[in-house]
Amino acid sequence: MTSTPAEMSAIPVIEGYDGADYYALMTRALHQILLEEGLLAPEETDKVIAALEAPRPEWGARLVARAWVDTAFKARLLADGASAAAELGFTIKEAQLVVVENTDDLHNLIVCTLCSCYPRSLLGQPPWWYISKSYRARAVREPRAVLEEFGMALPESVHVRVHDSNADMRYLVLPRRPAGTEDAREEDLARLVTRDSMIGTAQVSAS
Amino acid sequence: MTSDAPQGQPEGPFRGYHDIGGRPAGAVAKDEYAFADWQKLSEAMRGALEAKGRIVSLDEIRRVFESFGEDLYNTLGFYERRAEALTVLLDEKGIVPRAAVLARMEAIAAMECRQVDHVTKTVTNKPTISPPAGSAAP
Repeated sequence: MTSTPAEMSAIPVIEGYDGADYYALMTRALHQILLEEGLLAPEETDKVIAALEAPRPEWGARLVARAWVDTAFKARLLADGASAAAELGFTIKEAQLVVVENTDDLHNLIVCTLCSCYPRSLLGQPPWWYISKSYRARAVREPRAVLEEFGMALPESVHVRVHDSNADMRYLVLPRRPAGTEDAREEDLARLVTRDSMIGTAQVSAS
Repeated sequence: MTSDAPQGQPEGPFRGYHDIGGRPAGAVAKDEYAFADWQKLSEAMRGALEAKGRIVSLDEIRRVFESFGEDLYNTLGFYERRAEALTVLLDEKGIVPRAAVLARMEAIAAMECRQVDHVTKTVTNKPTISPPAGSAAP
């Protein structure tokens, strides 16, 4: 089957979401069989679920805030994300963590065109739009148009760099520290940092 | 990186249907949904099987959904694709026959007065039984 551009545009973002009942049932059925066959024990999936549920954007925000107040930490974070994250007690399990810094004339945007690679062990599950086909397809071709849809109109003078994640490299954007926060404490700064700002679809604002 | 408007492009003969970077597509919808319990369980089964001597791996799951056909890829949601691929992979490896999973789905559904259609991939409530037309009411 070949898709025309019009058909591609018609693909809903949460494609097939209506079919979730079927796959919810398939998952229950498979789980029952795996338990009966002794291929899995209940505590084994419980353990993975706990590990899936624990990471959240606030963890990434702590790295960002620390980098804003501690230039030596920032240098280590940009050199080796996983080692710097480990300093704050966060274990990046799945891949290398590449941290990319936004500046006055450079804006970074993260995508995974092939699948859904994302720093899950730090930020948790990606937002639904991140795994949507529209975002995956368009972020690399027309990043400025995509950013405008997220309410970010960047001046032409700002260079946009798009990073396509893969199985070995997960990215995290180090957003710009908002003006007017020079005297703010690290923990207050962390509260300003949003999930989207660490993907590159938002800026951090001072309030 | 440029910000050109989207345009159709000839597809190379070896470009996989999952390789959609740069393809034209519509606006990005920003709806948020909860991470459903079944999605967590499905991901956890895969993760637990992977932790157990790599009975399955994420690379294998990707290989399955990147080769099970464009129609399925385009009509299934993200977690649905992965759940389908896990069942296909366990069958392929001779660990859990797919037929056993489908039969178990039917058995669970029947206990809940529901029915499964494996072609349309839907689960619906069983129609309530009404007396045949023309039968005399007492």
